[in-house]
Amino acid sequence: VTTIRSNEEWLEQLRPDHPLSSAAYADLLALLVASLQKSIPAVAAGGGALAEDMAQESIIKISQSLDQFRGESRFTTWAISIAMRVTYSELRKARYRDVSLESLQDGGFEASSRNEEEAGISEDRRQILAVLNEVIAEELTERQRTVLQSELEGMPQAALCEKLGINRNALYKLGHDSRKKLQQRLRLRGYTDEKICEIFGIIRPS
Amino acid sequence: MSLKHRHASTLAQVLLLTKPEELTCDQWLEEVPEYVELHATGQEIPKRFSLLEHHLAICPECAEELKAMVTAVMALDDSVR
Repeated sequence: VTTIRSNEEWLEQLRPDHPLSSAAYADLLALLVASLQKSIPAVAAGGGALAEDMAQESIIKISQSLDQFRGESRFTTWAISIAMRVTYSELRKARYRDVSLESLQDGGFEASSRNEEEAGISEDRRQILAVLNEVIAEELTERQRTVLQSELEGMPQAALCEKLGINRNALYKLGHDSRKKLQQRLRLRGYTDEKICEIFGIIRPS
Repeated sequence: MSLKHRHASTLAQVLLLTKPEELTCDQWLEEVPEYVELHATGQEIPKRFSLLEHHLAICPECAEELKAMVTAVMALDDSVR
């Protein structure tokens, strides 16, 4: 970056009609290219063209969001945070471009009678699985089931959003509503946090 | 339909962390720049960031993005020193 700017100077100079607009955009591009290469191994491995593409993509988002900058940090930190979201989203989508939701559904939930994984698990665990399965089948919507299963199979949110045609906020809400319902139903059946930890052998989060 | 055993354990861990009010990924992104700077400069994190930190426990993708943000901001600070 050739020029050090205050937050106010960045905001002013990134306006398209500002005389220093071209220089400000060039500096922001250079800053983002360097940031992405230093902090995301997949970008560093992808060479300069990938970093430049991702930085350009990020600048579009940043320039569309300038009025959302709250001034609680340096402008450059805010711009970097957006660039990371944009870049990781693109990388995650690309990784799952050829994976269909249907292929994950086939490998995710299975008929319990055929689930060989259940052989040898404790009675407590079998019972809580039955409760979870009942709520998933009877109280979640089809879309909530798809989201839950795809996420459990490791599909990134950006990829899932693209396939479902929804944004990340809507996706998070679908997942959050499902989790709240499952949590509530477990509690109604007497599963305290301590009991759940005991059954699954996990440490209770603080 | 039945939940796979290996998924049940993962789901149980997430359910233990689930709160009635959580930040979405977009809300988290709005809040995070100041948090990144505090982290990058090794400052104490105020309690008002508790929802942001809770989101990190629920969302591994935002946690991955945070790590990259902190690395980038630290590298930028080093470059202007």
